[in-house]
Amino acid sequence: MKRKKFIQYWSVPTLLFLVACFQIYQVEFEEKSRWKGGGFGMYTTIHPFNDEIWIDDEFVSTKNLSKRDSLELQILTLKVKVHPSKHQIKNLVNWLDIEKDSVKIQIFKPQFDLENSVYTKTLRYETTYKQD
Amino acid sequence: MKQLINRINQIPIFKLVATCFLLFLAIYSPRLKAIYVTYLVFAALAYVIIDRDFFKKTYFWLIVLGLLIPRLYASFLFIGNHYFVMIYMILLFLIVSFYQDNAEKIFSRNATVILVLIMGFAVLQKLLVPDYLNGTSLAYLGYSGKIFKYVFYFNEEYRDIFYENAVKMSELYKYPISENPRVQLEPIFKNFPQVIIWFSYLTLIAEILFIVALFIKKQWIKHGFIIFFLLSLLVTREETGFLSMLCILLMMHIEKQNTLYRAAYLGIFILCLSLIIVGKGEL
Repeated sequence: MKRKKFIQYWSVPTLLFLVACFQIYQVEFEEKSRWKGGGFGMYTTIHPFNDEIWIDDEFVSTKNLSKRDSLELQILTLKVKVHPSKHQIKNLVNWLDIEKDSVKIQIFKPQFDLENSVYTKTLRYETTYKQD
Repeated sequence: MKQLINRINQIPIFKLVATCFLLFLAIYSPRLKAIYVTYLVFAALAYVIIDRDFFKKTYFWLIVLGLLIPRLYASFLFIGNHYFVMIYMILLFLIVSFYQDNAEKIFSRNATVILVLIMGFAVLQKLLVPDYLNGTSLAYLGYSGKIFKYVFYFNEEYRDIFYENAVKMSELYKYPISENPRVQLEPIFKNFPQVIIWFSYLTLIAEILFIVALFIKKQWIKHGFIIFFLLSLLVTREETGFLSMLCILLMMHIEKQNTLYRAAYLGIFILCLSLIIVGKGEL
């Protein structure tokens, strides 16, 4: 009887609660974006797609690439912006084919000085990726 | 009008919300960027024409759930909250298809808790982020004209300012942080920054009041506030996709038959759906 009642009334809300808690954990400890992952954090920050990725002090740009390469790189950078995990960074560095033992990865996010209507950027995440 | 409301209320709640959800899914699916879902959802709609009691069939909801799982796995990083809510709703339909005698009560209780959790987490996340309370996140949208669209976008002068601001913001990437890049934006009127901060706090308060409203006994106060909340959201953010799902959940939330409010939520749902069809709104 208890199990039946749980399935009827509490199973879906419990799943929602657990997914949202997991997302908040990932946001707080793994730099995941609040916009994605079922935690209802939309509009709390500027959308991560507006962030910038710089590798060894150079902006990662899709300009001057073929259409296909541009799309591939765009997807890889978006993944890093949403969740800069080691796995995503590795995929990006491998795609860029950087021949260095270690690379500095920086993600900058937009920032506002609202009082003076000034738009600027600030460091959101920084890591040094060491290639195997 | 009274006749129309009566007719809406005569439709069994399970059939009403299931039909609304399926319509939403059909219209939403082309934007999922998983074209197979569109074909399969239209196949499901064709099935609905053959079998009017589609919503009572457990296997039907299992198939619909099966349509969405591959994308959940393949694009987990990019999946936003809308997609998760869609999956929770399908799971709810699946459960109700097992326990149909108790449909109204199961829908009502689940919808209430789901709405409380959605708004509760939205409030919690806003409180956790200094960027929200200092207005940064909404300033970005405000200065580029992505919120208050229907309020300010009719003025050509404002539109030009929004456009120029958006162009300036998109060029920030050209400058390394060592150069301390700064872009001077133009507010559309003198107190615009204050309006942004007030709006951030107002949104937070409105979301808390939404949770409180769900438990208010006086129906006209409760639904009056919620309808005002939904329409404000539509005007300021054009969140037509998420609003459509909130409307379905609110239709579920109303347990009693013969109510004007179920018809009101259905009306807002149809409005949102129409806006999605004509390409308006964020999903």
